[in-house]
Amino acid sequence: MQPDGSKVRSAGRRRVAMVLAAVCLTTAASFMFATVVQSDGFDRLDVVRIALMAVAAFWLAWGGCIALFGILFPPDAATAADGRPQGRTAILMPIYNEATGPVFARLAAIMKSVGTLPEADCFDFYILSDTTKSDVALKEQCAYRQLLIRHRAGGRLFYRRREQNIGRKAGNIADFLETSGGAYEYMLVLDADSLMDGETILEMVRRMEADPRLGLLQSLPQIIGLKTLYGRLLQFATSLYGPYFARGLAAVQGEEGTFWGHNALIRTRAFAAACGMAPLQGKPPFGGHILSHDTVEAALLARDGWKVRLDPDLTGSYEEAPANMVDYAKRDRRWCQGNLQHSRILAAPRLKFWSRISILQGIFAYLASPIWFLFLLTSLTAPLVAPPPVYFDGYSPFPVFPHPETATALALLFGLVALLILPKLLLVIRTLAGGNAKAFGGPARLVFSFLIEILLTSILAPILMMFHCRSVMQVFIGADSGWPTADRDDGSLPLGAAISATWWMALTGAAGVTFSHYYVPELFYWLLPVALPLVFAPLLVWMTSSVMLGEVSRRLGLLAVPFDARPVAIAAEMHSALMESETQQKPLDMPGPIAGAAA
Amino acid sequence: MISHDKTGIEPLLDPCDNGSLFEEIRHVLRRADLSDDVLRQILAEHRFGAETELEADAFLAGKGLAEERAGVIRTMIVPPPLHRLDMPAHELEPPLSRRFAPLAARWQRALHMVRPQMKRTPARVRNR
Repeated sequence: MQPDGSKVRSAGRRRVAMVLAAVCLTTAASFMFATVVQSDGFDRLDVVRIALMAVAAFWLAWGGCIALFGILFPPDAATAADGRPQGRTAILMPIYNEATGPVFARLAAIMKSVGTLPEADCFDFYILSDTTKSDVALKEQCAYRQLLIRHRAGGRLFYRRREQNIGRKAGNIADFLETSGGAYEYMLVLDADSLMDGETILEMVRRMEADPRLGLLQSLPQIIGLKTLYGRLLQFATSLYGPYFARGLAAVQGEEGTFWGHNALIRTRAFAAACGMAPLQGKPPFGGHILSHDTVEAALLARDGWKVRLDPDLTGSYEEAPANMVDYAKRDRRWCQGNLQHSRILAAPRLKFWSRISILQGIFAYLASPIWFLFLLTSLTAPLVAPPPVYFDGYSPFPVFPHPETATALALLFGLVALLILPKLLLVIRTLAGGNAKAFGGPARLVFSFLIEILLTSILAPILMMFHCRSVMQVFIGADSGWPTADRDDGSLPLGAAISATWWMALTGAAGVTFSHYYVPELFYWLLPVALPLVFAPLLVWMTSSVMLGEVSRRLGLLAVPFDARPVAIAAEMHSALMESETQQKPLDMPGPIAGAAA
Repeated sequence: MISHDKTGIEPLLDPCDNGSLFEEIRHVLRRADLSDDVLRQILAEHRFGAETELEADAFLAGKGLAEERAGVIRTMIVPPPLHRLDMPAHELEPPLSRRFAPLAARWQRALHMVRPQMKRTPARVRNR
């Protein structure tokens, strides 16, 4: 086990190495691009294009380096305290107008899993409801009573509802701390779609007890329970690449780690003292309560000297994710606003340097798309405004022809594609070499699944880019054009909803193709990989949301994940709890409100 | 006090005495912080349903096995422990005057150290 000082130094060395590697790759890409663009003359627009390319390439290089570092640097073995935990833990499930059945089924599964531990009495459970719809609140109170009676959990299971969700989830947690937080040493914060094994929760408590300076311990939630083609794509990518990306993140972040807002154990007193946030001056989207509070809370804990750590080896932590691209884009719209709001706290006093980098990274996750889009626009415009070639420069009696830079352009293209694909390819090779391919359907199916994943993500990337561009623009102008409502339980989308969400992309793609065909024909074929997916966006979004195609891929053993063959026990428990609650559902004789439930 | 580790009927000291019932509830739920008033309200609002093996009258009369009685108690809805933590709201975008306050204070301190020396330095009188 390395001492703390040595760990900090090695994290520092990794950070320097990663920044240097990303800067070198960016410089090489920018130099090559500058060589290509100056072949037909050099003007101000070229300077803009090179700058945009440099920023976008840096972002790609950064992502590639994180995966590479995940391969190079395995996580240190974490120490855990032995025996019974000294402190009590509150397991918090904040909810907000969610579907009651699945939420309480998840909590029932977690309670059952924790209940099997000899240390079960060290844990209490809280349902922190911010539900604003009274009918949903009534269902929640019924489900709470049923759960409490079924598990004989009086005194261990609590339900509290706020009539107004001031400060959203952060305000909900703060309300718990200001009411009951002092009764617990630790709190495990979940999301409405979180699932965690009791053993994992206990191991997290033990790790926290082994390190009194550890303020927050983040587990790596795996995505489960998705049946659509897009969902299976997400599951495959996060199962295969996710752990290595997380290891890479953990390797460079060190003690200023990450907090994803859920499936994390937090030291309550440290959190209460450090993480209270005053609303920002002004109105939303940039003012008011901080929306994406998790990143900021991690930064504030680190600011006060607490360790914030991501332990990618903590398995038994699960979450669900949007099953189709429209739901994914809806979630991204919220996160985009929250992350762009962070631009105002980037210079907050006393934050650690790497915390600022993490915040900046979150902002760039959304700004990268408009940067690529602007790059495309300027690249389409550049040939129109380029000066005509000068064959006789006055120094030579012979004509001087522009130097062709086709080889450099192709090298740059392959370099950028390699930045995207190479880390994934290395991870596939590592999985094959490590003998873990069986969990992904066997070597042949793993390679096929990898190719399908690369192909599909490349086709869908322009659509996600456009969704991000729209989100960023909406945040800047303070608008939200709304989303089609098509909430199906299985995550599939009707074609009408897909068209309604993406018709403007199809028009943009068609406009791009037409413009390029008539005015810049030399870029026509270069533009097609981006423009064609946009033209067919409604169809692609609809098809990837198909449960049938997801099922076909499952039967063929493609996009397979370890839990296809070996179902997650706690997820199965959740499903049986859900079935049980649905069969037992009866018009409940609801008495008055639960004592102490309303805050 | 009733031991819940043993089986068999163990009558309360005084079945009709609410005080011992309250003690029993506190003991089973390990919630010494629950006051008599709170417990009285909990009992008043509690619905003795079919899920528990003891009828309300039997429970209140102190009858039943320790496990059965503990089972009834564990179906009661009790309020969470009240133990508040202060959560001060930190200013993340303080005004410049506050952000540079430490710097200004340092400058003032430096000036303060230099000022007496400046006063001791005699002013040059040119016309003398």
